[in-house]
Amino acid sequence: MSDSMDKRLRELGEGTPFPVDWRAYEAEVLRRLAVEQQRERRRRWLWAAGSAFCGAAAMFVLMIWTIRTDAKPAEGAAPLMQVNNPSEPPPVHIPTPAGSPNEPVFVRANGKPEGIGAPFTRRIVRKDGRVGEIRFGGFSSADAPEGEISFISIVESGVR
Amino acid sequence: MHDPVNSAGLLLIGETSMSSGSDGPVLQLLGQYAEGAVRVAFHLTRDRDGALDISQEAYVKAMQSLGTLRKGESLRVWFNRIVVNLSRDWLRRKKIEQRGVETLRTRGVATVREPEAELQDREEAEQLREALMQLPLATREAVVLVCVEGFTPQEAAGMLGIPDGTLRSRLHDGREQLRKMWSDDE
Repeated sequence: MSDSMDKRLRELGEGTPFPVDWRAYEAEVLRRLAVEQQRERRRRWLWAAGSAFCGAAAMFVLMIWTIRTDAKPAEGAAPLMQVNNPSEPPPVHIPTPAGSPNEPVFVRANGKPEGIGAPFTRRIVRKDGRVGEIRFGGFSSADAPEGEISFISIVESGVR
Repeated sequence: MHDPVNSAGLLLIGETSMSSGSDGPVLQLLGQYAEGAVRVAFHLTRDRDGALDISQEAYVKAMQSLGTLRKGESLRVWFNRIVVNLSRDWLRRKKIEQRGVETLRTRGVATVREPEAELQDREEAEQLREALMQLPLATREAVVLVCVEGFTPQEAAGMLGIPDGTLRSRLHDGREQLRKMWSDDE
């Protein structure tokens, strides 16, 4: 009886328990594989897009954070705004002329020279925070139509 | 004309347009286990459509998890492990284990006029399948893999993720219960 049962069990392992249309079976397997491949491609694309977006967002946040940190003054640092002594004339910002800081340079004035003929000295504050003086030595030619001037020197006197 | 079924009646998946990719040879290798996959799934689920679905899904899973195939591991054992796991999932979903046996006759499998001896063989096979289905799933898995599919107890234990001793114990219980049911039927 046991042998007969074992034999029957082994017979169950032959063929299939019901007829199978193998062509349709194969077509279905290939269809599922194709669907899965497509799904996998979409999944990868989404991951790539998501990673790129997250990376860009992280870069943006980092950039903003860096800019804000740089702009913030250090504890105990001098205020950004120049506080003037009311008795002194207000400092002026001028674009730094090319050349060595302490050497006189020639500049061409755009306005008429009336009223500012006498030599004078004026305190300036550069945009980078350094303080200096601009010394005007007088006009090279008082008749010059465009007010040619000379002996302007910018003297560095240190950092505020 | 290309015939997807070879002389032994086994499927040769992969000889179609899909085989042009790198998956083709693997699919072709796995194709020879199609009958066994259908059989294992059917003996575990006792559902014709379920067995076809499970075995087809096993190909998709196999292609996805080729990386889990260990060096030196039998492709047949590895593939059938996927089939067993999918069958378990299917049973869990359908909860048909408690629902009991659903016979092939109710699923509309063609019955043709057959010689008496063959008919008797078929009936006996059917009774055995029904008896198999009465076994608890864990026991049934052991009997199907070893007694029906011819895997060694070690291979079956590996596929089921249980120790050898546990498998042998389940096998012994299963055979005893089957013998009892078989003698009752006879």
